[in-house]
Amino acid sequence: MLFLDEDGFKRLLEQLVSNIRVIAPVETDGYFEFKTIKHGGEASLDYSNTRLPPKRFFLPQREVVFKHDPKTRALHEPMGGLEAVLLGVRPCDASALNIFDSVLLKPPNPDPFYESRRRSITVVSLSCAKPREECFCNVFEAGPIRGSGEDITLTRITGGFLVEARSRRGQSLVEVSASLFEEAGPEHLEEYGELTCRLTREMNSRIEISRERLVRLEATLDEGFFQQAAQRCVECSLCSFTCPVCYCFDTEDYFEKNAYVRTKGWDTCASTLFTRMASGLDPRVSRVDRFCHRFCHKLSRIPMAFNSFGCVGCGRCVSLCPVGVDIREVLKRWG
Amino acid sequence: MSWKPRVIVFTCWCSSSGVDQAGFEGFTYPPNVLTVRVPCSAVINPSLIVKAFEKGADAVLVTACRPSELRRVAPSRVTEARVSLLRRLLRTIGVEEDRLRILWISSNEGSLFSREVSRILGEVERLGPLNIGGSMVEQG
Amino acid sequence: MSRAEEELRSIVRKLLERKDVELVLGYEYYGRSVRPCFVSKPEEVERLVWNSDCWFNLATYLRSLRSRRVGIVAKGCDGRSIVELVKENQVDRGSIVVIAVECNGVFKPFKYGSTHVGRRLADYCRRCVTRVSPVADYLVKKGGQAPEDENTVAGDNASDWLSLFRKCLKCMACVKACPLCYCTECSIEGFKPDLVHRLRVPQELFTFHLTRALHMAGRCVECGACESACPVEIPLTRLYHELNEWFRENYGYAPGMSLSEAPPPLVFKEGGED
Ligand code: SF4
Ligand code: SF4
Ligand code: SF4
Ligand code: SF4
Repeated sequence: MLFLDEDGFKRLLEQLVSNIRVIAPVETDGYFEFKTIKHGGEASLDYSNTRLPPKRFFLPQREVVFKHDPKTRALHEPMGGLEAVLLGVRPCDASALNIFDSVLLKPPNPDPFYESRRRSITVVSLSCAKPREECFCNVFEAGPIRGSGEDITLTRITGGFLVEARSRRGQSLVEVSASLFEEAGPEHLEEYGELTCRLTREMNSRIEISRERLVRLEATLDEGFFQQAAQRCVECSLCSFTCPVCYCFDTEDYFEKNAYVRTKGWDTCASTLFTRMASGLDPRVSRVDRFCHRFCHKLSRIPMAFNSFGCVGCGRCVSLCPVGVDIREVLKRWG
Repeated sequence: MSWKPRVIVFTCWCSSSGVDQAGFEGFTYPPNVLTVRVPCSAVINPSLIVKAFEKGADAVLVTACRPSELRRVAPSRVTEARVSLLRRLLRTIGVEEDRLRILWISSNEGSLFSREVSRILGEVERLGPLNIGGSMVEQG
Repeated sequence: MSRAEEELRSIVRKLLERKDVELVLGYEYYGRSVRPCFVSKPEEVERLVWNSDCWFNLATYLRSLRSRRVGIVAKGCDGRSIVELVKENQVDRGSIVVIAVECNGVFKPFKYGSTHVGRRLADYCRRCVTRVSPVADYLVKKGGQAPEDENTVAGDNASDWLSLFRKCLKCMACVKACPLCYCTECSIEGFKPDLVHRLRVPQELFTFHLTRALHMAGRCVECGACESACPVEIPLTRLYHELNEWFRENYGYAPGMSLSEAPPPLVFKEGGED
């Protein structure tokens, strides 16, 4: 592990900004959002978390898959992301990228758009200083210090940051400015250990979950509970749009400016349009079906197929849902 | 100045013959004025006017029958009310309300049409391009 | 527990015990915020709360419960939306029991990652015209103070609507939280692709928002459910308020104020020479 002091961090940031596109949390109107910064001072590091996850840099809300010009018969496939450093991602949101990787990069058909973006963006995570009430990343081991999808993990300690390169890309970023870093001393490592204990202790939600039980969630649905909660849900789909893990998409074709365009964009299982087929048949008819699907997919089907859960415990849906649907209640009951 | 305002004109059946007449009688109106003919001005859904702005119109003009010349007064009055509501909405969101106009044109008023259109074009030219579509996709 | 809460609970208990209603829509605590709850047994009434965190408009649920007899806890604006729903033939006044609660305004709900520490009176509550529902079967007087305004200025004067629209995710929370947006085939959700496609964000957000505003004009009761549900806090109610002002100026009409008042499109009179 390496240590980077405050000054070194500032210099590193300036170096990065002058060489590459840097995206970092910036305060706007009372909350934080990820923006491209022009100089190091713009970035703010004392944020609890950004309101929206950095998902859109990897899966934009809408992207063009291809354009076809019927006259010239030219097929235009936009591809290739812009090289960038995404700085200050919280561990939970960084872990979400790990889930994206397992789902969207799964052979034999990886998503080329996601792949090119993921390859061109270096993710630098920053440990949480103070977990919010709605956070429960500890439940899925997705934080609060270390996530699982980042290239570099920064942990804030007195006087600077502990730096851990987690991937080759992270390693090379560290090597470029190697002179700024120093080897972490024993006092740093001790503080790191203490911090880990303290933050985990401070987490508000201590839910024990067992993978085996959750995998069986679908078979053991206590309809009464889900019915009650689903009755409250207004199917606004805000929860999946603000979730760092929700990756479902839909495609749409249309004609615009002399070309046929196929686009791909966020979709959501809360919408009645999600499973409706062209014939008008909808296998997921009722609100309870749609509601259960969200939780079954996240907590049971994703873990069944991949080595992770479909939730990283960021708490966005818990806090933003207008009617207080709380995924932690499901975890408490079935975890 | 190379920029020319794009104006969409929604005309009802009757006033569209007024527009035609402008052509017959040799009155001119600029080619960047596109007319869309609809059976009656009251079928113009205000959302379509909004859509026209989104798609790049710098101004929208609605021409309808003079209420005094109609047997039933309601249709033109409905349109008038809708346009007035929409103008209020545009003003609220910070788009100049004069970009949306309603004009009473009867089937024989070609000259009035071309005169009014030229006047409105001049005004819109002063207001400058609107470019709603572009400002929506702008990166933050 | 405040006096008003006590009174509310006893009314609900009585209604449920007498089987006047099958279920009552109310609010309950969860964590530090308040959420809607459905109470159907007399022993559950202890869950009910009533305070300035109860911002959601429960009338949103009425349409999905149409076949049942329900009781509903209604603030002033909620009551107005019930009136509108009845006028638009969406719910049957006879099958709902309105428990009106006197309201002194609600707080903006706490949003994820917000830097505001103090609680703020919601913007739309400052424009409120009726603190008590225009329809009521029972009335609970609050007797409390208006909520403290700890932070009045912050961000409430935004006027660059185009950049506000640009923030929108088109998540539809504003539509789904609104009691009066009940169309099953919503023209801005993507059912009418010629107007607004499902996925074309942000290109079509202008049409999305203006169309919604036009559809709410003269119907919006300014309950603020849309605005408070919005994850990026677009002050939608302020926009709809402007359109309601247009109706007030031109027709002297305000939505949801009385059951007997017909909405302007229906009373559109012929006559009046040019
Ligand atoms: S945010 Fe809440 S109300 Fe909206 S779809 Fe999700 S669970 Fe349902
Ligand atoms: S389901 Fe909710 S808590 Fe879990 S990752 Fe998504 S938004 Fe965060
Ligand atoms: S709730 Fe907010 S973000 Fe969602 S669609 Fe409505 S305005 Fe847009
Ligand atoms: S538009 Fe918003 S303020 Fe108006 S009735 Fe609907 S939810 Fe309430």
